[in-house]
Amino acid sequence: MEQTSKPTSRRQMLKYTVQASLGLAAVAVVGLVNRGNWFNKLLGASQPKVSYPSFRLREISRQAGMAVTHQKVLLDPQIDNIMPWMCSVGAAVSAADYNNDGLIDIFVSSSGKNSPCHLFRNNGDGTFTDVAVEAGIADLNRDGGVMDAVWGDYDNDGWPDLYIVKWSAHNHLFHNNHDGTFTDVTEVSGTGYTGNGNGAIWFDYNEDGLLDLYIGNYFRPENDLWHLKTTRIMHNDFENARNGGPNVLYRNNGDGTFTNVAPQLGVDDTGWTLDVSACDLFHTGHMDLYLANDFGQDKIYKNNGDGTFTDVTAHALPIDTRKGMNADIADLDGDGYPDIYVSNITRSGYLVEGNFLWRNNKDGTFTDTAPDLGVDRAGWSWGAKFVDLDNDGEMEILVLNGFVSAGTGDYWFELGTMATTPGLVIEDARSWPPVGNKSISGHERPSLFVKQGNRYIEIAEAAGILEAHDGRGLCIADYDNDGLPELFIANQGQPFRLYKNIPQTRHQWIGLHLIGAGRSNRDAIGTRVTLSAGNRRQVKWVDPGNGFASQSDRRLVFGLGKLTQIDNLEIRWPDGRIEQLNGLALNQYHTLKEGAL
Amino acid sequence: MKLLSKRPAQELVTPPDPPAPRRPRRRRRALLIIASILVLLLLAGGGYLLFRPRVQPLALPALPASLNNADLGLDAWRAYQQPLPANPLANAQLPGTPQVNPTLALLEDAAGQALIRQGELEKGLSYLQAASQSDQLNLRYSNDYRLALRDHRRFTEELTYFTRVANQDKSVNALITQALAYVDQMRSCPLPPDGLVCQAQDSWNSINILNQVLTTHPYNVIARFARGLNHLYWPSLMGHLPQAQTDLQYSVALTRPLSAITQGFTADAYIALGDVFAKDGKADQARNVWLNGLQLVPASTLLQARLNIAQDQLVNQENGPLRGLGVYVDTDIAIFWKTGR
Repeated sequence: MEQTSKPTSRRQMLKYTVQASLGLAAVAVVGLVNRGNWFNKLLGASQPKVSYPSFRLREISRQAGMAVTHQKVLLDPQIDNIMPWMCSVGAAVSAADYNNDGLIDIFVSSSGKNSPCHLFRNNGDGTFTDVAVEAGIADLNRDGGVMDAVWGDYDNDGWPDLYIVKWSAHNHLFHNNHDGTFTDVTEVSGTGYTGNGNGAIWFDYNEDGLLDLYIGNYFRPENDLWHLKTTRIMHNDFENARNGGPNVLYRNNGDGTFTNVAPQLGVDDTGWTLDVSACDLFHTGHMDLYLANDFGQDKIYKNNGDGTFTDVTAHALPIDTRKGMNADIADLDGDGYPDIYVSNITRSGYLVEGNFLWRNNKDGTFTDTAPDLGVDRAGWSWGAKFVDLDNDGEMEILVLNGFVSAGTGDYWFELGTMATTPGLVIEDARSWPPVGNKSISGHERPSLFVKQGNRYIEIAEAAGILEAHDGRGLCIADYDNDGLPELFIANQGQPFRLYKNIPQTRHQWIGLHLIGAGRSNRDAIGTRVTLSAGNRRQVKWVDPGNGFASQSDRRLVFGLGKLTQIDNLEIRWPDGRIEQLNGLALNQYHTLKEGAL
Repeated sequence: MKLLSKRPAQELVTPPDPPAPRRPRRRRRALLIIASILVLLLLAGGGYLLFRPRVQPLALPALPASLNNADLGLDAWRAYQQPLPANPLANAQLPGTPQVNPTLALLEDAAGQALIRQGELEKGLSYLQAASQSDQLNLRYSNDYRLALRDHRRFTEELTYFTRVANQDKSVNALITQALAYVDQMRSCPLPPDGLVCQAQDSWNSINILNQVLTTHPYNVIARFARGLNHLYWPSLMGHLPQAQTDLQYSVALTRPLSAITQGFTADAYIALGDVFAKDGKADQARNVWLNGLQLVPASTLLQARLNIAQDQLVNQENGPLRGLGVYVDTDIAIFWKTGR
């Protein structure tokens, strides 16, 4: 077809001019309007979505028979002005197979006066039955209030015993009777410290094969929070408070009794300890202590291997004036040196402290990598755990958030004003402005950080965690033995939650239930397992109960992704014995006893 | 179909093209040129609309017409502008040990700075202190001594000394210096996000002292600016931005009477006021303030740098590099009398 050019008419010329002008005007308008960059955002929105490990977390507490609600403490009315603040902890959750039927059971606290605690026996069919009353561990709130619970086989009889931490009443040690019931042995064991603690762990600090008990305390022990003689009970500084209750280390004497050796070992820290964690932080084979302290410096006590500790905080950590709430420990890069995640406070516009991810520098020091990795900003953070939700061998980090969810008012302004006003005696609870019905970082959803490339992204909502409760204790446990961890969440004054884990892709895994022998504690707490598979190495330790107001499943689960076999498994038991294994079948749990491999 | 069937058959026949009108080539070219010019004009107009700096006048507080240098807190500005003696350490009049003597103050001030430069910190500080003690109302001497202490992280010594002076003297200048020492003290706290409460308490103390000064001397430009920067430093939700805005609007307004002494402060005032809006997420208003400043100080690289920041990066400067936490306030008040900046 022949193209012929026609001469341009005046009308056409005008038409083109008008069209060009309109086009230019349109470009100008777009440019002017796009000063807010909305056009680019619009384009960005239509770009393909990022890919990341995808989980579906389904809340099933009701179906599982765990529909209980935590009851808060109600303290001396002299401190009514800040009661919402004061009664903001106590929701705890701890996992153990207390009846040795091969299924993980769950203890869930309540703290309100006479409110019952719960022992959820795993029925093996996806449901639980509360047997706390029959077991004799329901009625724990007649005096004081329950704050934490931690399972540990202190007498190495193969049955988990239970230690209960309380405020303003003596703590309890319950011995497991092997028949589904417990006996309160607090008095005979000498473990009934009366303080105001928030956390405890079982670990064998002196490596005599017996589990010892470390308790982190908050308020000073002389203050009975239900019957106050003074209202000067609070921290005396928002950044460097050292006037908390001294921590306790009960050495297990091996005869059913314990002795508090914290003062003589110098680990009776008076920071406002909210959580205690232990692991072999310096690759010495001994378990060291990490204390998450509120209102001031966290502490690291290095285990000297001779039954003593050295406070190495000043060397190991930079200055930390933040609000340590929780410490969980895992080796993120497989170098055999554990890294530590510590919850703090982030409230945009007021206090953006951010959570820590202390990378272990392998030289006795730690560096905070949380901002670089994108895991620093969460909220008013509490329980937080490392967890490989889809068994791809990469740890996710789940963080519970939210302090006091109440009315629409915000106490932060009053809090900020008080904290920054020199001369105000903040130690006196009556100096504090009334909280009333205001929220304090309330209604915050948990954060779920998953690795994408070299950073983490937050996907809690996309994963199905929609509720914004005041989360406290976070327990990771595989209640149905499918190798996939589930999330048990204790919410403060709010309903308990169980999230079933349904990952998009099922990966290979291997689970280990370790039993110590010889000079190792039977729970094998502190055992280091190094798994090599493909070109990857993973290192995990048997957990002493790390994490705020919680204890996770003590069994170790290694996610292997698509690998179909492991090359080697090295187990370093607490007494130093090293055993190597290979050829274990995948996708199942193995019970491994020290010396019998 | 019905409609089509009604249409007369002959209308469906395409008529032959009319013969193209013959026009002279010259006329066509002229039309093309006109059209091109029109397009260019439109382009230029659009570009101007897009990129022209839009400067709106600022709403600033009215100042009394009778304002004098004493009202600004700079009645001794000529003394502050006196050049330092050259080679002070070789000056025969310099006493071997520092002396509190007003006639030697300028020499001792110069000697103190020279000694510090050559590494003799303690001796240098003692001369600077002597100069400051010789004339406690003299902002220049106190400024030089205070900055030397600050720069060598002698924060406790600094605050103790100037608090003692303020307690003894009670003069406006002594109070201002004490307030500035509190601002310097903020550097002794851990770097944010740690140490925020520590910093805020120092700032609170500084603001309290400046409140006293400004109650009786509302046009003291140093106190205004220092208080404005204090307020600007706080996390925005603590509600200090309105006070920062007021103080820094005054500071900007006061650049006019101050211009008789120096223009060295003008850019700083406009930058700080713009930063209030930037921190508040009002990027347009921030830019407008800086553009106003640029009209007065076209050579200001600092103002230009602010204007070069992308609009979307100006939003949420809470923790940003402009006035975020940990971006310490420079308390060198020589900007209020130095010339040639």
